[in-house]
Amino acid sequence: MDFWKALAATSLAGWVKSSDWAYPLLETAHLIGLGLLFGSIVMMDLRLLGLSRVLPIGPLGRHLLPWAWTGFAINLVSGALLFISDAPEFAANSAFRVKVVLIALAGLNVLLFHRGAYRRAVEADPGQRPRAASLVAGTLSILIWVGVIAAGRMIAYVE
Amino acid sequence: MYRVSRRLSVPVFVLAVLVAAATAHAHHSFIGKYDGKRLVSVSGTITSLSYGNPHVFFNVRAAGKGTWRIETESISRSKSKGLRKQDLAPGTKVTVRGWPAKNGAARMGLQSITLPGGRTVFVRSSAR
Repeated sequence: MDFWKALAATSLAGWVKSSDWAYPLLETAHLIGLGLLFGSIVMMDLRLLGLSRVLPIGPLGRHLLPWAWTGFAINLVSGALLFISDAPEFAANSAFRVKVVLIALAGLNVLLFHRGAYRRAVEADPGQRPRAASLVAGTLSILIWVGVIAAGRMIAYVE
Repeated sequence: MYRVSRRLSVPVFVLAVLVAAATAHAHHSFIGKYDGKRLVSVSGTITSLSYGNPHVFFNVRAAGKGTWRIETESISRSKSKGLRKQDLAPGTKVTVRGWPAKNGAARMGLQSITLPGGRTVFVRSSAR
């Protein structure tokens, strides 16, 4: 599409592509962001699934979720910069498309879970067994984010 | 605690196997795109160059063989192998050897290139 071509023709995109170090440094940032995002999300999910029930969900979430958002922000920026360097190629790449859909699904999962079920999980006493909604949301979250990582890695291997 | 851990262990194991299978398949993206069992050689003139990351690409037009899209390494690796931007300038006559695209397209992953004057640069020894 012409829009992607125009994006790749910007001087910013040209810099990402033609600088010796921009691309590897952005990849480094993308991995740091991924570590923060995936690590904090999985730790939260495992708690929702009922592991380490001595830890109250509310304070745990207040510690972990800001780091998840920090990781997400780092990866949105670094990912966007990597994307524009070769926008038409990425936009047409099947693994990249799968990755975007999976990120949207992960967002939807968070959105649905936070409409009530999360508050009820927070209000439950420490030690209590997880509710069904927590089990579903936690399992889906882990599966989807593993899928996001696998799809992201596959961008280099498929067309 | 124990019950939940056991319930978790199956999906975690399945995921680990899937991820391992997906990544063990290839170490480098070359093997996904190019046929590492075949080598082809094309002589012609470079018609365009994208000296960029993550990989440098250039086109070679060969009489009777059409235009081939050649993929090689990153900027810093290409430089350290001795393939500077000016070595691959459009108009340069070269012979490229490499692994052809699995899907039959006129594309190759570069193994080695012979430049004007006879200097040959070996970029990589296998498509893996």
